[in-house]
Amino acid sequence: MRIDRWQLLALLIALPTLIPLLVIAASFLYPDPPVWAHLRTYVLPQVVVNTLWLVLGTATLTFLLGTSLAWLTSVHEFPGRRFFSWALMLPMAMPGYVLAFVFLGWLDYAGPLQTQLREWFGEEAGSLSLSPRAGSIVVLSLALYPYVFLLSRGAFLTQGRRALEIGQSLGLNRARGFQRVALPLARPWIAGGIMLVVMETLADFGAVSVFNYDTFTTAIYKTWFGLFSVSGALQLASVLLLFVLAAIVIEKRTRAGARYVSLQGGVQPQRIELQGSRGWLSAGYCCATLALAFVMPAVQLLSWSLPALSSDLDPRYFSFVTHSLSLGGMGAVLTLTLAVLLAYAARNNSRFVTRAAVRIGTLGYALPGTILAIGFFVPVVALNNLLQRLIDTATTGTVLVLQNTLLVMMLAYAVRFLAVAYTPVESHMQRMPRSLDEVSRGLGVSGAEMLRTVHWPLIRSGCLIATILVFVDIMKEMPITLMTRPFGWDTLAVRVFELTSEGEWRRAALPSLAIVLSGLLPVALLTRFSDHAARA
Amino acid sequence: MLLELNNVSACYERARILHGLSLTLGEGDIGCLLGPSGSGKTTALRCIAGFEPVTEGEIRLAGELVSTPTTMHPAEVRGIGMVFQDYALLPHLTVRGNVEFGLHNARKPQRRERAEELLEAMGLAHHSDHYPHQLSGGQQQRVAIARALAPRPRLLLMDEPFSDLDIELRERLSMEVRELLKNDGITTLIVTHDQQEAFALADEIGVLHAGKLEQWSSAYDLYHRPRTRFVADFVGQGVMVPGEIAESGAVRIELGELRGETDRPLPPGTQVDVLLRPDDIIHDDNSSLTARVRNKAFRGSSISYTLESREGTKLLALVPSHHNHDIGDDIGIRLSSDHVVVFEKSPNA
Repeated sequence: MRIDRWQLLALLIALPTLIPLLVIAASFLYPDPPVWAHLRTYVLPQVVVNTLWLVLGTATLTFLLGTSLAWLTSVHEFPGRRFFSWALMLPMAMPGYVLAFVFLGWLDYAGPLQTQLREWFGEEAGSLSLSPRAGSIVVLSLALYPYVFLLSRGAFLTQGRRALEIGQSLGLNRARGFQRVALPLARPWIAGGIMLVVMETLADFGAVSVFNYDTFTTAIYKTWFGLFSVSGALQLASVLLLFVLAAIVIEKRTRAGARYVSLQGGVQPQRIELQGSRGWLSAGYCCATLALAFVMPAVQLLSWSLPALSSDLDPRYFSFVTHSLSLGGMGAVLTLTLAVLLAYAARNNSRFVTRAAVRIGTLGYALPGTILAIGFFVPVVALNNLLQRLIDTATTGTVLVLQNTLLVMMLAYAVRFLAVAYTPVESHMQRMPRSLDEVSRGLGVSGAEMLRTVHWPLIRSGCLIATILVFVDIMKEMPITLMTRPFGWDTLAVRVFELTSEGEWRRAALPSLAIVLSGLLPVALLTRFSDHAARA
Repeated sequence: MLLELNNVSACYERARILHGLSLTLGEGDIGCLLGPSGSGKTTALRCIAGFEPVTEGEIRLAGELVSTPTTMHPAEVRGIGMVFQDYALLPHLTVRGNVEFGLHNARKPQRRERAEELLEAMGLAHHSDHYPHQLSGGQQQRVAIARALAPRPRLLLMDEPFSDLDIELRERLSMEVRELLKNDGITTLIVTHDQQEAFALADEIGVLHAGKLEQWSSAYDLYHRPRTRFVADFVGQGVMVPGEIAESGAVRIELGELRGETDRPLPPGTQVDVLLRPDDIIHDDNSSLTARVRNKAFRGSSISYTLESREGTKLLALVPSHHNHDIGDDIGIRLSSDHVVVFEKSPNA
């Protein structure tokens, strides 16, 4: 088979995604018996049960929250509907681990809720607290429901009111029409949103570690950095990978189902007016969700940060900020470059090899950071040792420590966020068919000049969006950064992890604030685009 | 009367879409609202279905008041079936599932029986276990009609039912559908912008323009006795030529005198515009009256000529295609019309 240079390029870009998968799969096939026996007896049962609970609980709760809010804001009219349509996406800016420690701070013995309860009901009333399981589920649901909201809202906006009319013309009232027509029609999108939530939940490290709730990700971390057992961590990662692969398969299937649904309203139908108390109840529901998931935590972060400004806003804090920014910047540029190259490969060569490479390369969004961290760490150490032997330390005196460079980190970032960058780049690239190249060559514009004057203006905004999204994702990212950072590269997210694991909620507020602020950028982008989509 | 609209107006976001629409449809009749896009025909349909409120007037269904500005029966209790423009089949259900969907109050055997009966009538019996995406456009349309008919609606509404199909299929399907509706005596109101579709399906056609009903009559009358300039222009082809009412009551135009029935007798001397349809101009090699061929379009069995009279008036003529003349030729014509359609020249024109 002849492989042209585009296919080769696509394969090269997809390769880094395969490395951790293969390394982890290999460890599954060749287990280390004593380690495995220990894990199977003492760690796995609890971790599997916890992870299942977390995934099921979060999926259920995000489904209920996301679809109900989307249904209200896309088909009905009530006080504040326009505002809530975009504001309900704000929680996307709040990473789960930030929300988690704010909630813990509230429910703490010294926190406002317990203090108030003791004031009202006496000392013994202070037993109110969230179990780690409930806490993790609630917090992750509040942080992740916007995925379900966003996707189901898109579906309801294009076909929601229409679905009700189909139902009504066949004798179903609105409640039954929602249940029997609108929900089934939106199912591929709702399921797609839930699967994104499931993947994020499986990948979550920060929120569950704040609640001290043991899932795969925290178990991998503890086995690696607590028991210093890399092989144990690999074994755990291999089981987690099974869960992830199951989620990927389900997600691909639900996406396939969306192809067949193409109901569009010819006329933009009028919204259903919710009058009187029903309108205010709806507004209250939206308002409560928004307050709990974003406004109150944000205010709390501010009020915790202000007193700490004088003491914590020191050179160390600025070094965290600089590290976060520079890692985000480097990672974004690297990921964007790979995404653009991959998109060009797919554009110029639509053969099976290229398409397969794109599918593998963009799989990383489903792979938890912990899996990528260990999956790159192990082969890089092996490579390091191999090179070390070749160089021969005894004679040259050189000591290689590749695993302590930015190499592992950047690779892991690039794999994890390639899909995030690829999607906007590719969708912009679809606007320039290959015939455009022929047209411009016919007009005497080719090569670098064509890239500059024809291609670049068309994909520029896609590249900008990709850069912003990846940059912010890296700012928020916790497990990869925590596990693979070279010495001295502490970031804001790492600082938050350290402070929260010491129970210092208040001091974690200041570094969190910067993360939340940067997180507002993609939300602004998203609301702009979903508005465009709704108007079109 | 099964359906009665009295002076119905409707607004969308404060813009008035319908202005005082009145019409009636008898039991078993097939009516059609014909109009260009934006004429308000879909809004009229949606008001009748109960999807949009009316701001003035009233809608009665079998004598029962269903829509007024203050009350509105929910769509689901009206017993009105609807065929949506894009069919709106439920992609997660099979053909049978779609047809049975509206029979949710019936028992399972009855549901199945009714669905099978309709699928049989629609020629879809072999496709009952297929999913909508496995069907062609015409088959999907049949499923949509079967689904709407399944609960035996009092009135069937169809929104641009055949607009997504190609011409040949459109003609065949509209004949089949008309036969089915007539056989079962189903009162139907159709909305379309396509006059061929309206002619093929409907007993009575209403032409809507800017939210107002211009004329409500048979297809023949719409074509030959249009009551307004808009109807004359929108329905069929034709040109307006200037003329004057003669003492005899005939209409004098550049090409001669037109005698025939006219709906609006005007006093002699009135300046008028006269509608000349392509079938009012007969090609006759022996005629002394000639016009020059300016353009021609071959239509198979006939040729559509665009002619110019000596004084520069544009005319259209449909001529059997063996009369093949070249552009620039002068050909003989004569006038022939049973109905003379005239409109008084507006003073500012």
